[in-house]
Amino acid sequence: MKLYRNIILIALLGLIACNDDFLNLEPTDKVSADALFSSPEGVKVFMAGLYYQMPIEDFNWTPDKGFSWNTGDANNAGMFPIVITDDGIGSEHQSITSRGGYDFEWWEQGYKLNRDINLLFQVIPELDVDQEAKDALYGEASFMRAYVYFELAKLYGGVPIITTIAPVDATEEELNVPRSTEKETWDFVLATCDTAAMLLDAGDGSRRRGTKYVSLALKSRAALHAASVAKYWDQSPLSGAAVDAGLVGMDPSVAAGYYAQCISASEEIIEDGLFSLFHPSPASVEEATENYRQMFENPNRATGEAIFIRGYTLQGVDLGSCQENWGNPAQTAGAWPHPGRFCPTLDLADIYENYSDPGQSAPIITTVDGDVENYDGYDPSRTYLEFDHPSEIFADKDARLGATVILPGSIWKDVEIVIQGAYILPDGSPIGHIELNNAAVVGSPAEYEVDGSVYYLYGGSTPKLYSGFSSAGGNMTRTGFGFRKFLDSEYVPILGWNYSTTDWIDFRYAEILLNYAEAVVESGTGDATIAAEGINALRHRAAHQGDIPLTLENVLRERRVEMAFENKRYWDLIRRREYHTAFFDTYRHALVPVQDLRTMKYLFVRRNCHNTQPMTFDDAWYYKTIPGTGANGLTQNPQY
Amino acid sequence: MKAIKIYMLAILGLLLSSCELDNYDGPDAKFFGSIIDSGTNEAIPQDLIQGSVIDYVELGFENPQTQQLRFKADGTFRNNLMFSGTYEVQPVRGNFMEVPIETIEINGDTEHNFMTLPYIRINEVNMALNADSSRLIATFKLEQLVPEPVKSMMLVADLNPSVGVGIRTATQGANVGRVVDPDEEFTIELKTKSLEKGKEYFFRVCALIDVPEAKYNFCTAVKVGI
Repeated sequence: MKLYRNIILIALLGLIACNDDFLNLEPTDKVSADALFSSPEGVKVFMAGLYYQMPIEDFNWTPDKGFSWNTGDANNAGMFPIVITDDGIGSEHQSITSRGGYDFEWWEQGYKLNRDINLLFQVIPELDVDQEAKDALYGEASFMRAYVYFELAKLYGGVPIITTIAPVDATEEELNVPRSTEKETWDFVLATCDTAAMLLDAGDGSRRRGTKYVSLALKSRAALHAASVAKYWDQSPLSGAAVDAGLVGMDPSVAAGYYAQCISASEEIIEDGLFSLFHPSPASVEEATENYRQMFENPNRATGEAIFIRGYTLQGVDLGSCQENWGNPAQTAGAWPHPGRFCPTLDLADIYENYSDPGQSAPIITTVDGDVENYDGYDPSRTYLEFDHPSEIFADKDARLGATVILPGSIWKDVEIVIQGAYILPDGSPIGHIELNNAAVVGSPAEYEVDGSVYYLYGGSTPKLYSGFSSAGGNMTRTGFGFRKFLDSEYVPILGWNYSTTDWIDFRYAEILLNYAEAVVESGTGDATIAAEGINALRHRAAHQGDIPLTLENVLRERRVEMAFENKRYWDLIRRREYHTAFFDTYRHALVPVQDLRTMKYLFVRRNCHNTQPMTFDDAWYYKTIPGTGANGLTQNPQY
Repeated sequence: MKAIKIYMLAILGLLLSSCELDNYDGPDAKFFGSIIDSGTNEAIPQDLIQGSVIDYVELGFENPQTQQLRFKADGTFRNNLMFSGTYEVQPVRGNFMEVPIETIEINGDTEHNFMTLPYIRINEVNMALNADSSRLIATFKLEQLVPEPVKSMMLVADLNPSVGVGIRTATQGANVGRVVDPDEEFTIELKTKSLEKGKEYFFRVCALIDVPEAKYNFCTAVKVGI
């Protein structure tokens, strides 16, 4: 007991022996705000943190988890944003929303980032740099602010606009900033883009930071979004307190003004001539496919086309992405156990033009009767077209199809990708994923011998030798197509998260041409010649020879084809109010390659993706729910 | 040591006795009723999952939140876990004409019926299998009570009697896109090959008016053995 008494005494002595300065020690493992903002280098470090938090819809943006999902356990079962649109479906998941419309929540993170940006605005005047450097910082901070509010406006409609940091003694009224109307929010986004574009120059060509042209590109995208919401609001009007107050929704009469802003911002980028398409005149279809693929494999090859890139340099947690893991077909997955999660749909493949019939979507014809609306499964009474090799059916298709998706029978990483969902036995019985009306699959016999050779239902004896349709690991495409666009032809996936370091193109010149064309054709203003030249330049880059006229249908087809999987489709369906019609009791469709053991040739069956249900989009999902309205007093979005 | 044990027990006893489980009363009221077609005095059938809702707001709070109550397929609604109080209630986003906001007292067993008119009445519904049972043929008439065109119609089937837009295993639909005459007879044929033989399915015909946020109008479910 004496020992305890001594210890307590010593401890007491320790407490009274020194003055209370020790409570004010600066931590030695952290940089204080004063030190950070005392030098331009410190501001640059802070800026890097802001860029890291920016809501860039890249490989690490996932529908159920939000932005920057490259955490320690980055397992989201391969939910990539394409799987909630009509361009794709998951190998195991089919939902177009994982939490009933509550996805993509970015309220808290958005306002945290906004606060950090406001902090930057607050310290810029205090910095020991000249006015020119300060203007550049204001410009970059404005670009980030516009980017943040663009994301918030897309998700929530009108939001509280907060541009200063509230003092610690602020009253409740000062802290509870009400929502601005949706129109005011869009106007704020566009005006902030203007500020940024005015203060910034063309940058150093690295494409990694906000510049004049990135700000204009953001304005082009945001103005088109706002214009479309206004123009197409009546396609799916909502009601309730938020609508009555204008917090969501805009009058169709304001669309013209936004289209004009999209046109002027796009025009400035086009006319200034700093950007151009990557390899605009290929010599052959094969070259066009390879050029297009190369651009996404490494965007730094295409800094003439890329306007803004998010770079990934280091592998590992919070640094890389998992797209190579989830994206590769089963045959080229290396050591990764769960590849093949994104399955591009037949619906997307159908949109691509045939060279022989320009200006039209070319649904893939599989039968002599040419009926492409029949998704019922294999019907022996119909006559199917037969091919010596599965890749032949795609021979006339736009070069970009083969660079965007992995086609059955195509070569990827020197391997022929085998995608086969069924075979027809010599006695004529169909075995596999071609049963009529989504009925249960007859999966046996799984192999069959003809004249001494063994043929397999899925085209290979083990799941390492094929990439489609079987249930092995959920690793097989169920649409007949594999994901390809951003995959690296050299990289072999290893067992671990976040090892992919492919860079992401956030803005590229092609999108500006498409934004311009859409705004021109939708508004009837602007220069229709330049607009038509834009979409035809994209087609010529894809080895099309002639020109097609500027029509809304042509512009939208070209947009869906050119920008496939660049995470634009989700927002295109939202802003044009097409989601509820695209997904009204809608199945996504598959093209099932079938080997006919009577002729040893291949035929194809168009059908609903197996093991799926029809999906319906609820019109409430055009906006997300605002969290915490009970406490923050904000008006909730309709139907939440 | 004994003293420490006693102290600890005393502290434990104090902690356990110092708070109550909950000092608020639980839900003590029931709220139920129907949405009724004032022309026929019958409930207006609804869709269970994607159908009309009743918005209700409990008054007497500074920042009251709108809550929602769903209709059952037969057009009735019931919430047995309501708190007594004054509420603003209004059926919205439905398959019926606008119902004004009503302020009502809910306490004990409160029955409340909303009187309105549906957008479309589905009349003279007849459902029967054809000779070889390969199709279910529904004939019906559509009586629209608003001038807007009828957008589309569907015949839906499911094992669940609440069959509707959100609950169905088979569907056959058709676009209409025009104003219809109440005496015009419509026919929809649904292939039965995707339905299980030997089971009894429920079928409903539904039609959608071209009005913003409108929901499908339904007939009452018909049971047919396949």
